[in-house]
Amino acid sequence: MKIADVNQLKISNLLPSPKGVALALLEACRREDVTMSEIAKLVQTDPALSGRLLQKANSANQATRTITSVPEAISRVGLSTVKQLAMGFSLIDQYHNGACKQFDYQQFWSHSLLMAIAMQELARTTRISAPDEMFACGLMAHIGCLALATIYPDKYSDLLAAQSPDKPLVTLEQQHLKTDHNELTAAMLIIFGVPHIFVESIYYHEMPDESGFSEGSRPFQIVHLLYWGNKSADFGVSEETQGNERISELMLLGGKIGLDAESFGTLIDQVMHEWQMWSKMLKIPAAELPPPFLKMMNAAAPRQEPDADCNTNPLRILLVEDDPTSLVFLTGLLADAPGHTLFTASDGQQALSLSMEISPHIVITDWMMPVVSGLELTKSLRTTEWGQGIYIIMLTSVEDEEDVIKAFDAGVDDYVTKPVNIRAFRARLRAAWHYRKLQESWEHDREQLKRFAAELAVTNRKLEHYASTDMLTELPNRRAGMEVLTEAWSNAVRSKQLLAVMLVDIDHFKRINDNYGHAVGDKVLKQIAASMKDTARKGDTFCRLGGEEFLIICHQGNIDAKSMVLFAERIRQHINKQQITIEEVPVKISVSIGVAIKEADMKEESQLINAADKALYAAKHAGRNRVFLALGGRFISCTANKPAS
Amino acid sequence: MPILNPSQLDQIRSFDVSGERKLLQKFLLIFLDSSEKYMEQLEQAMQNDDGSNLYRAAHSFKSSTVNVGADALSELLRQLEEYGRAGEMANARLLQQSLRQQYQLVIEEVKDIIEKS
Repeated sequence: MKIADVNQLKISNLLPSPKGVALALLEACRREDVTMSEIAKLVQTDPALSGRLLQKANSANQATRTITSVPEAISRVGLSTVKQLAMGFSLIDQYHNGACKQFDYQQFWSHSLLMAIAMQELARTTRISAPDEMFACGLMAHIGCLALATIYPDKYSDLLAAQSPDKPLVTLEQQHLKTDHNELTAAMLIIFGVPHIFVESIYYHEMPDESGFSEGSRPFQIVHLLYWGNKSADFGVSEETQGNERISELMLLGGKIGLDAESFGTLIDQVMHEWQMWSKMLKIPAAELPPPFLKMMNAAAPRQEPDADCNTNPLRILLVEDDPTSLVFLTGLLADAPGHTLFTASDGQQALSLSMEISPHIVITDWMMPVVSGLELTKSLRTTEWGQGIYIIMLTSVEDEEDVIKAFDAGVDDYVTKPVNIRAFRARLRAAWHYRKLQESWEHDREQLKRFAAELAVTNRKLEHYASTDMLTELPNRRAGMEVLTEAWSNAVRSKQLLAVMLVDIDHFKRINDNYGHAVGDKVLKQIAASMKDTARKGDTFCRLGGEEFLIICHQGNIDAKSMVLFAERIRQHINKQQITIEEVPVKISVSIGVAIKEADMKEESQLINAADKALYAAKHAGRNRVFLALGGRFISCTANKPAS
Repeated sequence: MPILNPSQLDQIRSFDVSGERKLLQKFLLIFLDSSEKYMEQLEQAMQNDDGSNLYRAAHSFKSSTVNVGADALSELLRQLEEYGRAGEMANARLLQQSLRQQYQLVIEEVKDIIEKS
C-alpha cells in the first residue's frame, strides 16, 4: 500500500476536514482517557448528528426494541464507528457543492452512501465485520476523490473529462497530480483514525487481486466485500440499460461471497430501500426505487431487431437447390437480406459435407434433389449433435398437407412454397433469425450459470474444508475426527475388524502458554502436530480435539495391542527428541498417550474413547511422558519407569 | 394467359434495380441452358415408359419454369409430374405435343427478352 505523503505534496492544510462537533469528536477520541459520557455530550450538542446516529443504530439493529437515547446508540454502534460516522456526515454537509466543474458532488455522495449501505448489509449477511464499521468504510472509501476535486478543482476537472477505458482515472491522477485517489483516501483515513486493516482493504478495493492478501484471510474477505459493495453502488447509480448488463456480473460476485441468487436479490432490494431513506435524511439524491431485483434478474432480455447487431455476428445460411434457376432466384432474394454469409450446395450430399465444415445456422433446402433429398438431408443433420440447433426451412412445390407433415416429422422448422414470395420468405427468415438469437442468448446464459455454479462449488468446497479443519494445525478438527471414528466404528462392527485409538496430550502445556504467551503456544502446537504426522502409517487419522489434545484413529493394518503400543512409544519418543526453541531457549516437550483397543464388550465408540481417556489419565498420574494401554478395565504402563530423555 | 407472367420477371429485376449486375440476363441464360437438359430428360423418359424419371424431371423443370413465370408451361409440367408419379404414361404422351409447343414459345420469348435487355 502506498499512502499519499500530504506534507510533501503540500496539501495537508487543503484536505477536506470535518468541522464543529465532528472535529471535536476526532480530537477527543485521540485522548486515551476519553469517556463514553463525554462523547455522548459532544454528540448531543449537534441535533442532526444525534438523529442520524440514532437512525444508524436502529437500522443496523435487528432487535425489536427501538433505541432512543444517544448514549445507548453510541454504545451500540461503538466509539470508533461513531467518530467515523460523524466525520462522514460532517463532510457530506460541507461538500454538497464545490468548485470542481466536472465533479458531480451530489452523485459522489449518492454513490458513497449506496456503497455504505451495501457494505452494512453485506457485513450483516456474511458476518465478516460489524455492520456499522463497514458502513463507515463504504461511506469514506472514495474520499480521496473528493479531496482531489477540492484541492485541484480545475486540473481535476480536466482529468475527469479526459478519463476513458484506456486511460483510467488512477493513471491520469498519477501522471498529473503525483498521487491518486486511493493513496489520498488511505492518508485521510489514517488521519481520521480508521484501523489499519480497513485502510489497507479500502486502498486495494478497486483492484483486489493486487492486494496480495492470502485467500480466506480477514483482509482478503473485507477487500472483496468492498469490491462487491463498490460494484453494487455502480449498479445503483447506473442507467437502466447499463444496469441490465451489470446484473450477471453482480450475481457472479455474489456467488464468490457465498450468496445464492435469491438471498442476493433480497439483499439488493433491502439496500435500495435503505438508500432511499438515508438519502432523504442526508439531503442527497438517490435513484427511484427500481423494480425488485429478482424480477429484473428474471426479466427477458430486451427484444432485438434483426438489423441491430447482425453485422457483428453474421448468420451462416446454407442454400441447397439442384435447379440452377431456382438457385439464382433464391440467391438474389437473399442478397439484400442483412447480416449473413451465404453458402450454396446443389444436392443433399454436397450440403451434408459442407455443413460439417461451416456448421450453418440456417439451412434452406429444396425437397426433391438427386442422390440425397431434402428430407434425407434434414434427417441426417438431426442425427448429429451439431445439427440439432440448425434452423431448417424446406422448400416445397405445392402446399400438400401430407407432404408438409412428413417434412415436419423429419425435423424441419418451417417450410416455404414455390414460387417463393419475397415478403413471405423474408418474414420466414426473420423468424429464423429470432430463433437463432434466442438460442445464442440461451447458450450465453447457460455459460454464465455454469461459471456461477463452478464458483459456488469452489466456495462450498472451501467452506467444507474450513468446517472440518483445525486452522492452526491443519489437522481435521474434532467434528471431522468424530465423523471418522463413527464410520470406522461401524465398519469394525460390520467386518469384525480391529479398531484402536490413542489420545495424545502435551505435558504441561498450560505452562508454555502462561510463560510465553499464546502465540508461542500456537507455534508449539503446530510443530507437535507436524512431527506427529511424520510418524503416521497408512490408515491412521490424526485430528486435534481441541486445546493440546489430539486423537489418533487406527483402523487399518497393524492394530493389535503390541503394534499399537510400539506405535505410541514411537510417537512419544519422536516428540521427546524434538528440539523446540522458544525465544532462543531450547525447550523439552513431552506427551502422554492413552491407548485403547476396541474390546468385545464395548457397545459404542464413546466407550473406546473413554478407555483411552482413562489410560491417558493413568499416564499423567504416573508422571507424564509415557504410554498407558487400557486392557480389560486395567491400565498397563508401556514405558520403562525412567523414560529415556 | 401470357407466355411469361411479367410479375415474376419484375421480381428478379427488383433484385438488381440498376441492372448493373445483368442479373436478369444471367438468370434467363441459365434457364435456357437447364431447360434444354430438362426437355431431353422428359423426352427420354416418355420414350422409355419411365414413370419415375418423368416425375422427377417434370418436378424439377416445373420449379424452374415457375421462377420465370412460364405459367402455362408450369401447368403442363404439373400434369406430367402427376402422370409420371401414377405411371400413366399413355396420358403423359398425350401432352407431349403441347409440351413441345409451349416449350418453344417460352424459349423464343425468353430469347427475345435477353436480346432486348
